[in-house]
Amino acid sequence: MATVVLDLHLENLPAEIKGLEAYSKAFILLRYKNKPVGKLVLPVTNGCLILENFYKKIIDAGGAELWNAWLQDYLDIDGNKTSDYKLPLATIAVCTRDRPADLQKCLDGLMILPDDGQEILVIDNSPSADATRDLVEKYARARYVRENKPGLNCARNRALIEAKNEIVAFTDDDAVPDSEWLRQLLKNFHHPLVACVTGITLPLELETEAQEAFEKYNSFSKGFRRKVHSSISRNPLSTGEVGAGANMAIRKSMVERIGFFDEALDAGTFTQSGGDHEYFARVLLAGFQIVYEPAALSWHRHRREWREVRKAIKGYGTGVYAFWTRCLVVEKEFGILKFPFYWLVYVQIPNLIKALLRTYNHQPISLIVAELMGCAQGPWAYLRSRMHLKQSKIHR
Amino acid sequence: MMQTSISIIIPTHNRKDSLECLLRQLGGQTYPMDLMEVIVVADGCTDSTMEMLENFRAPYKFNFTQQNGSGAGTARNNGASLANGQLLLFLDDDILPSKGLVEAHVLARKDQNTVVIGYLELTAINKPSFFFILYRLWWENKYFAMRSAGYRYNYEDLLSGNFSISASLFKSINGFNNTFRCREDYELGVRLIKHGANFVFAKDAWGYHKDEVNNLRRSFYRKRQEGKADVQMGFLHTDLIGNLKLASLRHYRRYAQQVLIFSVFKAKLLGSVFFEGIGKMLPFIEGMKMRSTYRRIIMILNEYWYFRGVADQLKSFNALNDFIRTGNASMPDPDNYIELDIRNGLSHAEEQINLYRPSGIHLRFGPYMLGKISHKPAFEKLRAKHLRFIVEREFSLPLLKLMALDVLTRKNNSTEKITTIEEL
Repeated sequence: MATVVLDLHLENLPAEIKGLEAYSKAFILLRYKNKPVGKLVLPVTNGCLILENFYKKIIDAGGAELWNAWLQDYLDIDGNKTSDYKLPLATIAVCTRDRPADLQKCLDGLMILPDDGQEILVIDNSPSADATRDLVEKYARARYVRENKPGLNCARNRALIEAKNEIVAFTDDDAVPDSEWLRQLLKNFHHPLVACVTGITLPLELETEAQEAFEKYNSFSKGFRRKVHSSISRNPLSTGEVGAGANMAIRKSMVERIGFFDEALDAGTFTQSGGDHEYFARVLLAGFQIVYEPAALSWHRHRREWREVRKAIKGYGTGVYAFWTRCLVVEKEFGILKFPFYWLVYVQIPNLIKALLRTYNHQPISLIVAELMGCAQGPWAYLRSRMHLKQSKIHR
Repeated sequence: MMQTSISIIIPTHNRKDSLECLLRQLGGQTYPMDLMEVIVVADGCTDSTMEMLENFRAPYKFNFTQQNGSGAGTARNNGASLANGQLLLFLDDDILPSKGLVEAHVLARKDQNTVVIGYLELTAINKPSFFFILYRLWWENKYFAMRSAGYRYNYEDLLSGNFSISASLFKSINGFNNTFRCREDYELGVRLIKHGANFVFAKDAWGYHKDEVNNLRRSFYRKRQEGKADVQMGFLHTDLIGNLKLASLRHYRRYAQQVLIFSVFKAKLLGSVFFEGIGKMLPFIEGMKMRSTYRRIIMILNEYWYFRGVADQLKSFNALNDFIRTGNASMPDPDNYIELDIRNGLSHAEEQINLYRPSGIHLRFGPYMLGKISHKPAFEKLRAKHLRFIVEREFSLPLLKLMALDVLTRKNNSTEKITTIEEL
């Protein structure tokens, strides 16, 4: 059965929640005074979730983050604040391709964000019809831009060029942002070396088994603790924990420092994904910082069908290997060679073995195999994509 | 405010092009030219600096002098003695000021006791070297710290490349100490803090710093100078010794300590050859993109060269130990500690702090002792705005425990309904 996604405030926890007959589990986001502090999964019995029985588990799930939030609230301070920072102006960019239904949900979410003077851009990437344009026309505050070169990174680059404001905040078209999303991203740009801020992405719904499997396999959440990543705190090539392109904000001036997104990477090209992680790596290699801000929350609608989830997981495998290929070939970072080795030996093969032996809580074997097949195609996909890009540049 | 006359003092040594650029930029400041005076002190210049200065046409009052290699501190003192302005602004010769730098310094002042520290940004470069990345992080963090809410200023915040001070305060404190070739600004900082000056960081008083950063050799040489300067500082201000880097040697791991002491105090030549050899490997390590190895080696070499500087002044390890001991001896608690109770909220405690400006605080939570905020030499006396952040940083766990204990005690004493969070 399905899992219901709930968003609960710890200072006002209800004793029980009724009306959940269609669900067997509840995926709960815990907040304290609107700040996300933890998540946990609880069972639903007879359509009813009795929270009273689980208070201790709930507090444990909040953990250190809860106590930090509580203490900061008690002392009335914001630990990361500087005494003089004014939030910069932002441009929100939604890159989309032939998904008007999802895009509508996203735009509705963007319209209710508090108005701090942000600009909203919709980059329609190589569309097959006018549905997106017609949809965007209904929203007075959103500006429509059409980018004909196929590729998510092409769309992102177009957004960086078209944006009028200093910070460009990207969200996927199948994601719905929280009301504080933009402000929480922006407040982290106070340090001059912060080039990029990423947020936490949680599942919007877990109605189908495929969605639950995707969340379990490849959750976008990187935890609830704010982290500052730099080439000093981690290997700059290891960007897995840094964030995801579905929820990120970039300082526009970075383009002059390190260039645009690599148009041979990510959705719409042979490489399927990896465009965001490659940019994160370049940011860290250049000595800048990426802040992971869990208070910048966004809800992502995972693919509903098994077929699509498998395709997505395969795409991630391809994208990661493509990104690593670029590191080797373009940035000449030989240190990348140990990454595929470690991933295979310490993560992928153990997962595969656990799945074959059907140990408790194993990942579905179809997804593991899809990922491995994607990985195998990665390097060649990148090289092909680059050649294709060069040829299309010559033709233009 | 805009009526203040300001004297900009620039010590310079063989940087004719940078200096000329700076002087021209000062002509474009938003601050009225008739209130500005610029004094350049050329310190042992062998390039065409003097010639350039003689031919320079300035839109502001312009004066220059020279001295023979006595160092930046002396140069600044010299410049100050020639200055006529009410406010003295010290700038280094390798900075490129923003148009509003002078104005920002003036606007940030609150009274005659204020010292304004301006912001210097490193000019960005594409494809930075590993060293530049480390250096830039250290540099930006230093300035960024001063912007955090509730920041407590200390002597290391006085950065002489871009700061302003009233002429009367500078005179009453007798300016820079001439005997310091390095860290003369920190030493001035110590005396200013002890005098009770108010430090203020003004982000708008900004300029670019054109540092030739990639010179590893120069950076290690500087570390050695810093070691020497720290010893000098310790002799001059013995209560500071415990907080200097040289006093941290006893916290090193036993093996590392032995190696360092041996190579710094005993086998100087062997140590030199060994560590310089390691230094020569750095470009190779960078070529192999071995970032964490590079970083660790830089840290080790920094330590080595710093202690070589310490050894230059204190000839033996025993002398160092004695030195540290004199520091320990001179650290009694000053008598202006106050006791504050934060159980009923912090506003009352904050008022008390601003009233008394204590050196330290004994914190209580009702009948329980929470802890002690100790006196820190050469840190500004405590202000109200520091309290909450100190509590969060140093006393969070004891505070949470005491609050829980408090709630449980109250729960036992009455039947009031308590919210879910506190119940747990």
